[in-house]
This record gives sequence, structure tokens and C-alpha cells, in this order.
Amino acid sequence: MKLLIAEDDLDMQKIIVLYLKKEGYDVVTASDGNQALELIYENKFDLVILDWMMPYTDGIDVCMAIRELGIQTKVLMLTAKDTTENEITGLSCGADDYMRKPFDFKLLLLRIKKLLPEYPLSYAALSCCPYLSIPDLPNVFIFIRRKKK
Amino acid sequence: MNQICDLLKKNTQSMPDSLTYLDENIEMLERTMDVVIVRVEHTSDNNKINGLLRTAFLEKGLGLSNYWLWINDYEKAIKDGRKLNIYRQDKLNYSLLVEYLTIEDSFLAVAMVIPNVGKMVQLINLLTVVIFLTALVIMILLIRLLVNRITMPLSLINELAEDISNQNFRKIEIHTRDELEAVAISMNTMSEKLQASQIALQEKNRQMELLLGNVSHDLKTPVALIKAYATGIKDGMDDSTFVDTIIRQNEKMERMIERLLDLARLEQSTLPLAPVNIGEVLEHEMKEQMITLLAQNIELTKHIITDAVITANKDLLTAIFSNLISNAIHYTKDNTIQIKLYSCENQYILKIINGIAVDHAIELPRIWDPFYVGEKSRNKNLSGTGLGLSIVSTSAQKSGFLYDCTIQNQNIIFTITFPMER
Repeated sequence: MKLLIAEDDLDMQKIIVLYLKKEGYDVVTASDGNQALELIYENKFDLVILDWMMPYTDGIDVCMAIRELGIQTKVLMLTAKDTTENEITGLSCGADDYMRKPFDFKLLLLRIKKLLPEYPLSYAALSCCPYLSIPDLPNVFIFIRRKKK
Repeated sequence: MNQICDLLKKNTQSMPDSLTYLDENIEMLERTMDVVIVRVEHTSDNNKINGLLRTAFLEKGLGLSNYWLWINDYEKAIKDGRKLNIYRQDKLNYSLLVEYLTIEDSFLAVAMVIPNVGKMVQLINLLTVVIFLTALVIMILLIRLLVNRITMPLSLINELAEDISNQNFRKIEIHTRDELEAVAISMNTMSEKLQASQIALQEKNRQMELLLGNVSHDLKTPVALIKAYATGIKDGMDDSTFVDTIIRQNEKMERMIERLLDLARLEQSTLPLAPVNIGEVLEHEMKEQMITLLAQNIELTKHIITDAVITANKDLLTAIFSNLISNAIHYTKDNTIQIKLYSCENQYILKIINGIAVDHAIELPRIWDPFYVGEKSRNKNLSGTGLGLSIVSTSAQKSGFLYDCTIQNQNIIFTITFPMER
């Protein structure tokens, strides 16, 4: 799975890359909107993690531009813009999901998985992920397991 | 009528030439009283006497349509000396009251015209009704005109008031040249002022939202990084740089909070004044930032007078100079900074000039706002906290200095004007 991280804060970029690489994703980075747009246009990514406030071209403009170009790559906006209006703007501009900073990595990884096409929505799949742990199994899963046995 | 007859009789009896005197009396009475008196000779011929009387009345301008002196009445008049008759003159709309009397050889008829009251009343009633109806129509028209004149503008004013309450600010045109027109003008002014206030408030709200968004972004970014790196350490991903990053972000946040507190302190406190040499403070601040200037290879050109002394607070002056110089260092695009301090018309003028990008997106009216940065991404490598120039403006306001910012030929020029000591 090939992912693009478009994030101008290099510290933030670094930690996200570390987590994603640990998950086994192939990660490419961009530090501003123009670079991100160029990379998306020239490469095929499974998912783009896009910051809103970036130099030269912001994440919203990047998102609108790629949708305008007909590129259907999944886009996850990851931003410190935290109002409901911001989220509505982000999703209206073509983003598939929206996450506010500060964020929880478990949640970020889960959302990334859900956006990817091959994502199997099962407890087994989730529990494969070393950084994801679901402490309390819902009763319904226990029931299904028993039945399968 | 009785009095007239009595007077005639009395005046005539004692006179020797009574007939001549009677005629004079008749003339006098006709002039003074509203009566017609005719005198004829006695005759037993009823037709003749009626003819004589009718002719005599006609000669005196009294037309009669219905008149006849019956023989019985004539005889009674001769016998009793007087006889009173009334003749209704239907066609002529009056009645004739005639008293007959005999004085010596003359037979007199004293006539008084009595208007036909019934008909008159009828006429008056008709006239009254016509006048009343005319007055009623005129009144209705006048009332309608007045009501229109008063209620139409009132209704317009009411609609305007409702629209204003619904924040639909508009104006009305009323030209009644009275108090209503004055009210309409006041309402229009009110509408105009409310609209201006609303626009100002909306702009203020927008700026406040922008400010909150910026504060939120600038404070959340280091918090998010600290959280992310702390989680990374917990998840065993530390490549031995995580703690340094946490410390760096923590310091960044600390700096921002300190600057915010500085700004708040500046706005609240009253600082003591003393004579200060502007040039000396400026030179000191340039020395403080010399390391950064050299490290970034920035060429500094200065022209500073040394005898510029004013009464001011030194800390505020230091805050102004330090922030303006660091702002110039941070944002210069051509690696040059010019600092000029000179006197001009009872003022000392400081200008700090640095080059800016051709495609800059600086909004000059907002440049003094807290958390405003020209770089929209708010990337801290490309912009500062956005508090420096707010500290400059607050310090200048507190000190009573004029401050301004202009852009000329790819240069941004910050000007501070200090009033000269007298």
C-alpha cells in the first residue's frame, strides 16, 4: 500500500511516517501543497494524508485540485483546524475522512485501514495490528466464535 | 299692529287738517315700521272698495294673489272701528295680516307681510340637509386625505421598523414636510447606522473567529506533537530523538505563552516614564540581534542620530525595537535591512525597511492583529508567532507614538513617530 503524507511540520511528518512504516506501508512525503499535488499527479497512491495549512497551496486546494483532475485517491485530512465548519469544508472539498490534531495514533491507523480498499472489517484484522488493541470484546464476537467452534 | 292703528287714530283726531296729517303719519309709519298702509274712500259697493284697496296696495308695491274684503268684514270694521283679517298668499310664499280701520271719512288698511313660515322651514330644512350632505362628503374626503397623509407614512415607518428588527436594513422615502418626515429621516439614519454596526460586528466576529482559529492552531500544533512523540516513546518507537522533539515543542509553546502574557501585561499595566535616548536603545537592540544577523548573512544599513531624547518607558521602547528588528530579520527576502532614525518637524522618525517577496500575501490592515502572519500555512519555519507586531502596536499606543506600515517597491516599511521633547 502506497501512502503520501503531505505535512509541512517536519516533526509531525516524521512520527507519522514512523508509525505507518511500522505498519508496513510504503510512505512518500511532501512538505508543501505544490509538492504534494505534483506527487499525486505523477504517482498512484492508495491514500493521501493531507494537512490543511501548508505553504504555497493549502490542503483544501490540493484536495479540490485532485478531484478536479479526476483522481479518485482516498484523502484523509489531518489538521489542527478543529471546528465543525472546518470539517464540513474539508469533507465538502472532496476529502474522504477528517481528523483533528492532536490525534490518537490508534485511531489514525484504524481510519487509514478503513479507507483502504482491501480493508477487511473484522476483529481478526484489527487485532493483527500491533498498535491496535481492543480491550473489551463485544459479547456478539464471543458468541460468533463459540458458534464457529 | 294694534299700536300702529292706535297711533294713527290718536294723532289724527286732534288735528284740524286731519287728512293731510293722516297721510304724513302714514308715510312716517311706513318708513319706520315694516308695514304698508293704504287709505281709500268709504263706499258701500263691495267690488269697488276691493278694487280701490287692491290698486292702492299694488301702487305701494304689494302684489296680492288672494285678497278680498267681504262686505261683512267691511261693515264690522265701520261698526267697531277696526277689523283684523289674514290673507294667505300661497303662490307668493307669504301671508298678509291686514287691519282695517276707519278714521273720519277714510277707510284704512294697515298690512303687514308675514312670511310663509312652513315653506321657509321646509326650504331651510332642505338647505340644511344639502349643506349637511355636502359637508359630510367634504369631511369624508378630508378625513380620507388626512388619514392617507398620516397612516400611509406610519405604515411605511412600521414596515421599516419590522424590517430593521429582522436585520433587513433599508430606507424609506417620505416627503410630508412634517414630524413624520422627520421620523422617517431618523429611522433611515438609524437603519444606516445599525447596518454599519452590524457589518462592523460581523467583521469583528470574523476576525475573532480567525484569531481563535490561529491561536487554536498555533497552540495545538506543539501539543499534538508532544502527544504524538510521547505515544511514540510508549509504543517503543523512539529513535533517541523523541525526547528532544518533545522538549523543543514544549519550549516553542512556552515562548508563545510568554509572548501572549507579555502582550496581556502591556495592555494592562501603566509603566513609569523617564528621559530615554532612542538611538542608544536602538543600538543596544541591534547588538542583541547581531548574532542572528551574521548567522543569516543579512546586510544591515543604519543611519541613526544620537541625540534623540524623549520621555518614554524604556521597556516599551525596547519591546518595540526588539520586535521590529526580529520581524525584519525573519521576513527579509533580499537579506537586507535598513534602519533609519532622524528628526523631522518636531518629531523623531524611525523607519525599519526590509525586502519582501513579489507575490506576498500581506494584508496591511491586519498586520497589527494578534496571531496574524503573512504566511497562510502558519508554518513556523516560514513565519513567527504573529504576536511581535501586536506587541509593537500595543507598546506604541501605550507610549503615545504613531505607528504605520506601508509597502513600496518590494519593501515593507515600518514607521514609528516619536514626539520631540519641548
